[in-house]
Amino acid sequence: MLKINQVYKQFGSKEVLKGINLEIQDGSIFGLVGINGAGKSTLLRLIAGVYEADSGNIILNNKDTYHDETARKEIAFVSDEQYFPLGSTVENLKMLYQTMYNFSEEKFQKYLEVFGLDPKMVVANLSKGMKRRVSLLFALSMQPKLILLDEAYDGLEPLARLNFKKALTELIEDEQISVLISSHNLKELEDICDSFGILEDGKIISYGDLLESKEMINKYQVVFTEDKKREDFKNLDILHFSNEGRVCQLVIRGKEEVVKATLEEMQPLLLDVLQVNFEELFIYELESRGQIHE
Amino acid sequence: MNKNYFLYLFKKRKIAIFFFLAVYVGMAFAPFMFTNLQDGSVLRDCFLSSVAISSAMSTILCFGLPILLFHFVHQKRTVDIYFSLPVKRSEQLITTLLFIFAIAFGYFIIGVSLAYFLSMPAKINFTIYLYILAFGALMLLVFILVNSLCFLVANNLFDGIVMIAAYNFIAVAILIFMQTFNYNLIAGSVGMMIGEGLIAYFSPLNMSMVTMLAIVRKIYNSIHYASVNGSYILMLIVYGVVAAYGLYRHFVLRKAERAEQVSSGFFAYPFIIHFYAIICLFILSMSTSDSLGSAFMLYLLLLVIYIVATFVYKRKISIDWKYLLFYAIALVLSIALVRVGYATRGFGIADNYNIQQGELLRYHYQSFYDVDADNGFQVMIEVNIPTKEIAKHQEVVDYFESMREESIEAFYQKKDIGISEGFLSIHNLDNIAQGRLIDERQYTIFNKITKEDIRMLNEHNCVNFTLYNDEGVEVKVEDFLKGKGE
Repeated sequence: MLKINQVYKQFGSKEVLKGINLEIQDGSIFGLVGINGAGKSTLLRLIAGVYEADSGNIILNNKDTYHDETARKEIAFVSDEQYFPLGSTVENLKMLYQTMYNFSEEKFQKYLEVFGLDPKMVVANLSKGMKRRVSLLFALSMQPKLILLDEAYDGLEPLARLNFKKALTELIEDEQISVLISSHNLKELEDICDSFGILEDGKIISYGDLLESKEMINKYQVVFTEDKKREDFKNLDILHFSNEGRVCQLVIRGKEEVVKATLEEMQPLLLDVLQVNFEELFIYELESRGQIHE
Repeated sequence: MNKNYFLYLFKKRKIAIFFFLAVYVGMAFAPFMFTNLQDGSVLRDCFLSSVAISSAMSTILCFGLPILLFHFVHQKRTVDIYFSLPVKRSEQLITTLLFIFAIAFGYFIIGVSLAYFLSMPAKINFTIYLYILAFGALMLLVFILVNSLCFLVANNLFDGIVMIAAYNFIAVAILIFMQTFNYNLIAGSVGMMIGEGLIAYFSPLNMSMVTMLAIVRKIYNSIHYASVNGSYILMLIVYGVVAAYGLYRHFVLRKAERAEQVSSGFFAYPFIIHFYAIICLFILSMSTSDSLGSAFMLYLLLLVIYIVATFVYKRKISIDWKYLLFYAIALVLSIALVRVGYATRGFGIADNYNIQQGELLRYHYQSFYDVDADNGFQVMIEVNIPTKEIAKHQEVVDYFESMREESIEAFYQKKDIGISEGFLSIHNLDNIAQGRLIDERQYTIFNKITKEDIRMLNEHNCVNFTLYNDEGVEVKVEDFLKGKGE
């Protein structure tokens, strides 16, 4: 299990992370989302042991990821900025992972085939997507307990994305590893993640089980006999409100039955409930905190 | 040390390691080509050359390898890979340093051993061979530590290389500063340099070269070569220890986010730029003390260079008034130093020379032209006075001291007396006998020595004359005083 306890990090005078607390269970795929500059990459680098937290700590299976190097042996970090030395081939790169990690040749061969890679390929000459495949190949071959993926799907075409998701699912089923994915592609995250966290201005503003959270937030289309204002729904946790005359569209956090009952008390002419997707959930969460103007 | 990391570093570069080993061996072998391998004296020369080549090549590796093996800390992408490896930072540092040392010193052992083997007929003392290897190990280790630290005080690759060059050039800058100081501010210091012995301590490279040469020259069994200076070895160890501590701070405790940032740490650009600005300003002020007006353009040029250096440091073109203020203050201080230097007769240094009780004071006078106005004689006077006999020859000492005083006064008053008539040098003779640095003062003399002066000096047995007439024929002083030989 990964535990992040009260982690603060600042660069110069800029506070990037302001007391992050998070727990990611074994066998879980956690989607980390946030607007640009929210601190997602910084958090991933802190977990990977690249950066040291100014205060707080990050514990993976009872080991501090910065101070205990054995913890880092169990972490595969695929950075958003990939590095491949000039002239290096897939085969050359293997040396680093073979020497330093719990590398599995069997898995390497398997994923080499899955990702359509040739060991003799000169990596620097490959396209962005192919380079991403090389990084993922090594992340999967080093048998980690935690995979950190920064902008995981960046450059990957649909088939590669599908193969990767499949590989991840298999690994989680077989080995109970945890995966933390940061991505802007929320539709992709929704397909694969079971939990999520929204990082905003250095803080986790919302996190939990993705399905439960989605169930707790619904979109309601309601027609009343007269015009309504936001203030008329004071007893509801409204994330979003818009209206055209007597037709109101509301995104409300709360159990569907409870919210529905409350709205019906206002005697609407029509009441419709729609599911929100992960992207909408993200947008409405930010909107409710004034980060996005309605 | 982390065995896996060492293995990775080796495996990754094994082809290059063996390629450069072949080049190294070839270079170390070069002095022995076309040489009679039975001639002892020739073989000793070849051995010395081969050791010099091995030292030079390993030294070059000590500059290049830290850049190659530590460059990852300067790039965000590589920092992500190398600082997330399952290895402690301290182990990563020690392993990398040992890897560099293994290559540089490993090559050195092979090169020196090859030279020793080929020089077997010259019967070179095995102990000297061992001393060379032992000192080589210390020298290379210190170079690796110092250069690695210089590279790591910066936050990006370009600045790291600049720092290595800048720090290694500091000793040269101080040497130029001291030479200018001595030549321009200390009357009589032409033949010596205040602080000459100290400057070497600013350069591990210089200390190492001198020491290695002193060790290798022992193969000649000659007393003419300087012996090993123990303080250099001690100082090299101090450099190594300080650099090791610096590396702990700049690598083990390094914040990974420094990668690709401006090198704003105190020992990076802030120190280097201001150090060189101050040194250059002082050199300029001392060497252009005659005319501030003519120095104006040079001051302006230096200001431009200084400002451009801050642009390079900050990676942006904007002038900060703090830098202008610093430059102005340093400029005023440098001019003030020169003025005070002149007012205090070189801070009092010009009035003293290093003669201790029980040592031997030597005056050496040489005229360039005539003894008297029109007789065309040239004279050289050598005076050796043990300090305990100074009272006995006070007349001679007073004579030369007044000559010295006149020259010092002329120097600080910037008097242009005309063509110099000769020079007077003063030094402590015991320094030469004891292999110390010669504390020699040399003064330009403007007045001709007279026959009466020679007559007075000749009454003292500590004075020796060499006289030549206008045809270049040597004349005895007694004959000269009697008017013969003219």
